[in-house]
Amino acid sequence: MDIVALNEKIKQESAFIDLLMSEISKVIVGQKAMVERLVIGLLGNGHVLLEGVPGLAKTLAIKTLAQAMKAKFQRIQFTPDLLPADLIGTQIYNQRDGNFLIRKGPIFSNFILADEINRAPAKVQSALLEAMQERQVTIGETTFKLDEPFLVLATQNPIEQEGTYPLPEAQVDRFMLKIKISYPERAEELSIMRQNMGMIETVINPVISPDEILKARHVLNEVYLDEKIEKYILDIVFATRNPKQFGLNNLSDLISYGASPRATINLAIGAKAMAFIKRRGYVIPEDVRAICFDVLRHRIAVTYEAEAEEITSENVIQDILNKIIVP
Amino acid sequence: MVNKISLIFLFIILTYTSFAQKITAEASTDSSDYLIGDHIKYSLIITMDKDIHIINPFFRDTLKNINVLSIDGPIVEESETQRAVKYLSILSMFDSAVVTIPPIKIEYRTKGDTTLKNIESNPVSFNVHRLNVKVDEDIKDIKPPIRLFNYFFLLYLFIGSIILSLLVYYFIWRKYFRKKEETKVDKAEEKIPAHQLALKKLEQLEKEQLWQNGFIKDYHSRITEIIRWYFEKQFGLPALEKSTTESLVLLKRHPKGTKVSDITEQFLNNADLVKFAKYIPMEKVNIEMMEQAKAIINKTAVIEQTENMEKENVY
Repeated sequence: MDIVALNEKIKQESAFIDLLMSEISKVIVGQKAMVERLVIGLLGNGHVLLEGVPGLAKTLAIKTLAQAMKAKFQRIQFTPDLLPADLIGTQIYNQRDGNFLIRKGPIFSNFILADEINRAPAKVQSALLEAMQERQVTIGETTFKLDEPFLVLATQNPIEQEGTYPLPEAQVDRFMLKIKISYPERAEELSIMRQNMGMIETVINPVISPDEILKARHVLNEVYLDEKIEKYILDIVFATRNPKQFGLNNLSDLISYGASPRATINLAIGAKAMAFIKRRGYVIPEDVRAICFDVLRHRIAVTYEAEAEEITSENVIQDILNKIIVP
Repeated sequence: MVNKISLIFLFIILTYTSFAQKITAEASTDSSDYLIGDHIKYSLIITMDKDIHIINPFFRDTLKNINVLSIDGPIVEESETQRAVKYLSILSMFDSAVVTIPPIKIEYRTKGDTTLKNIESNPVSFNVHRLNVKVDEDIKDIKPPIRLFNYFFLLYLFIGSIILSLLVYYFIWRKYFRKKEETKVDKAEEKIPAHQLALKKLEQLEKEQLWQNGFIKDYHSRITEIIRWYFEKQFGLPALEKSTTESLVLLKRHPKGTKVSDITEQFLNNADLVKFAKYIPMEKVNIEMMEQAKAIINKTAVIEQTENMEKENVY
């Protein structure tokens, strides 16, 4: 397919993006980047980790997204006493007929909001992350496929806060994106204040069905990713592993370990999804750069030396992007 | 008769004495006057015939009120007929007094005789004086403090000399060697201004006839690279490490870049289509790309030249 036809197709297939954004913006003021990345996660079939202090509309954004999609939504509040069975379900003994009945847990939904995932102990976290990876759950001897689309959106309070269990690096890697949410701008906050003073409840209309999302995912595969962009993605990922090879000698002592191959895959998918949202049939370096922080920030571990100098993985990514030549 | 008996008696006595066993004990000190705390070298030498055996005397019991610092002995020296046993001791006192070391009793036996006999050494006297304190003078050290050699001084000197030599080396390197490296690059770049160098690169690209031979993507990559390199050199914008939109934002913010921002936007966006979207442009577009590239350079180079001329007029 030539680029003009592809562009035209993408424009048609991505028309729902504007509708979706406009529905979400009925209740979410600002946070455009966050909403955009939630849609990227949805299109890229990847899970999203949201990090930010309480009260930044993380839960509301996900709930609104589910409402706008006419999809099944479940919110699970992670607490220190939560058990894996509370999440995935359990077998219950039926005294009448002497059999075990399976009671499915809240994970059997399209959208799971795992609120404050780092408040639950490791066994619950791993139960959720296994389900995320396998997209199926085994209760007793029966294995159940999870509904598609299946998207876990986990929120995480900053790890510095007390009473939290930080997610292990291997499990964090399973999230396609880690989005950091900051406070809204002054004007946005004013709108939020005014909006919440009114007594009228905003109604979110479903503008897209889960089937349409699955179809959009197929179209996403058609978005063209040029060899030059592929090389650019590889350069970025390899610079996190061997910074010296890319003339980033100052980073070699700051990076404990670099991004995994999963980062390469997600960077490519994320860049394609970004191009799709921008109604383009091809990926440009800007798409890679736009999604780069969200894909890599949780996949690069910095050393103690870097932590002592208050250098974060984001500083490392910024240095890499400033050094690698854009095709 | 009486005279004869007297003579015989005298002969027997003399004979007895001439064959009697000989042993003497002589004690002495190296001086008779000492200051408090001085070492008093006290020696006892017992000279005897070889067939006499003495029992070692116990000095310490005798030398009451005197500090015995050391006793060296018995040191035995023998000749053919005689033996001398020496005891050399070092004593000290911490009070002034006239001291007399009493005679030291030495017990001995002669060969073939089990009887224990004894002799005594001579007594030895000496004076121990106080220090002569001059009351009218200031209090001062008996001895001046010992000045130890400051080894740290040597260490500091060593470290200091290393630092100094490194600094000297650095300055020499900076003055001669580094300057040469910089001047090499500078001279090359000074010789040809950025706009001229960029135009040369464009001419070279034209000569290579890439798009005419089907390498359209390479042509567009090279031509945009030249312009982005030019922005970096001419305006100091890191355009090579930025995407199209980011480069355009930087260019629009730059006071000298606004004049070419529109043409650059069109130029870079067209190139992006070819580079990243499999777009095959018409021949006309490829030619236009070269014209646009030259226009970007010429327009900004004119600004530079005009500014230089204005500066010259001011001076």
